[in-house]
Amino acid sequence: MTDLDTQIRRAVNELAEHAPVPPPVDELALVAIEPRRTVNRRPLLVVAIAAAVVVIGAGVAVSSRRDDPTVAQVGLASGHATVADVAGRTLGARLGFAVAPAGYGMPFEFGRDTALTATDQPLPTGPLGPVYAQFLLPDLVPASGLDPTTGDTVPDPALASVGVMTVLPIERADVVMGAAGHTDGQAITINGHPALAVSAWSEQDDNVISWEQDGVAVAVVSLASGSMDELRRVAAGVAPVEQTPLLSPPHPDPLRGATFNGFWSLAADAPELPRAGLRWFGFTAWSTLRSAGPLWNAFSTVLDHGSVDQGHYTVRAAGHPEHNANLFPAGPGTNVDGSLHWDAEVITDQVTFSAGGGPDLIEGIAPPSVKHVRIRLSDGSTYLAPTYDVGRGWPMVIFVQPVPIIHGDNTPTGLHAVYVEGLGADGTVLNAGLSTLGNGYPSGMAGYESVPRR
Amino acid sequence: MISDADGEIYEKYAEELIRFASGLVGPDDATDVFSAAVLRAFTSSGWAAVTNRRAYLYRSVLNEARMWHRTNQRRVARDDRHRPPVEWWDPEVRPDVRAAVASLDVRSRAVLFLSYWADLPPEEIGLLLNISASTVRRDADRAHRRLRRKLHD
Repeated sequence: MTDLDTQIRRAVNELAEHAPVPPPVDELALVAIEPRRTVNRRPLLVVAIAAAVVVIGAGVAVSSRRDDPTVAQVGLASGHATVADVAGRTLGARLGFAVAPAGYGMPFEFGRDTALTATDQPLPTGPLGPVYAQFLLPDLVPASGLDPTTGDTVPDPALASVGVMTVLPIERADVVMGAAGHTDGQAITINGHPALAVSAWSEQDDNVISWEQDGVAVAVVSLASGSMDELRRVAAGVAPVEQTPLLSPPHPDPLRGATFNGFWSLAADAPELPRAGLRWFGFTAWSTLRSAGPLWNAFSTVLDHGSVDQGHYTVRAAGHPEHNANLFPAGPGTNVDGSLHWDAEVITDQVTFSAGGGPDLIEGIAPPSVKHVRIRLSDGSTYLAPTYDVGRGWPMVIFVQPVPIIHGDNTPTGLHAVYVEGLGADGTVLNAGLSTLGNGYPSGMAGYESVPRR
Repeated sequence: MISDADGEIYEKYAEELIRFASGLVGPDDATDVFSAAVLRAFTSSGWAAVTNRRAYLYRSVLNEARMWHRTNQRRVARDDRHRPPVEWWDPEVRPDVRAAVASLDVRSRAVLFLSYWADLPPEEIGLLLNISASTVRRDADRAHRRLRRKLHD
């Protein structure tokens, strides 16, 4: 074992050896919903935070980008958080790449031919109707000009990846809104088609170029860390795709240019077995979609965006906490001997939030009758946060209150929320002590459990 | 709430899972990630049909850690700037190695953790993470090359 190996082992083991003790199983739910940040903060910082909280609580520092005169005037009328009547529709065309554009591999594609049927559940978020998407990663082979011996010339391939989605035109605004966090952009032309280039609202939103062609809408998406020029170059290469799967055979290494035909059942509790002739390798469509790729935001629903003194933020929900909590994609498992077996993988998803800017969030869910949530912090300051109805029949509303810094609260001087009340439209206290606080961190399970089911 | 059967599973795997979470997000946030992941799994309507529950829980922790990183990367960077020295740091661990390991993506950290801490071969790591053994080897190789490059810069 080399010295480096020894050092790596020590560094890894250090984290494992200092892992906390698991909470008793009976306290699991409490732990999952209470912030347990243990970062110590300097007292002066806490004072500054408390002062900033008061300012934010007064609603002074929060502003909307729509008021920013420097933003271009072109935009889409987003119909997000609405249920579009897309059942039974199919895409009139699919657009993307038959061969990955220069500099990229195409590790992943998926298609959903038909929209909702009686037995289908909607996709957890984003487009409800048919969708075809490709997921491009920076090409790591020599032809790309990158150094294949390092394998990581791009620091994190996911950060330089690109997604290409084809959706129904009526869902275009939803996709752009979900990806970029807003829909105001710059008018450009892509292959003769009027297009809209929308820059990411915050660091965790995405850049999007979108246009309509052949009766469908196309959205080309990259993370905020990517350049709009590069996205425009990629978008110019998008063309109708006649057949899928596009590339064959799949490469055994998904990061080096394999193509997969993603498919899964959307019927509740009914995993779909792989269809003959389709191959899948290494990782599943849904885990790729949701974990790091550029399609993640496009499949979520934007609840709010704004600005505070620490930067922009976007609040989005992904996943359906009620009947759509689970997908059952069929995926490969690997036997000990290296061979594959096919199995149904259950992947859960829940309401999650992605805050892209500096502020932290107090967040949770509440019964639909709650119109505002009153939050009192340990320093005595109070917020009155509106609730959001995500739409689509979700049996709860969501509240997300940006605050400068709320975590780091396990210390005696730490700032934390001490009480939450749910208020009805007339100000009546409907629920007290709602215990659904997360902290810029996916939450919702415990709150979801506390919400009456319809 | 949590059934007796799930309680037994919890008692059986909680310690190794929270160590896994600690390897992915650090001790400070391990409890959050671990608890959320386990709760998601236990309350999933498909949980009863899961055959390899240990593997499922590992993947649940991994997914939770990925989401945690995505939503907290800026906060973590900010925290790190204000973070005082932590008492539990092993004096034998070089700070530059510690930082280099922390900079790896979540799956690379998962592979390193399961390789070094749990001493699992690639085939077993693949079973836990639902990736092929060759992918495990590639991830491990890339992680090592990335670490070497960082440490030699």
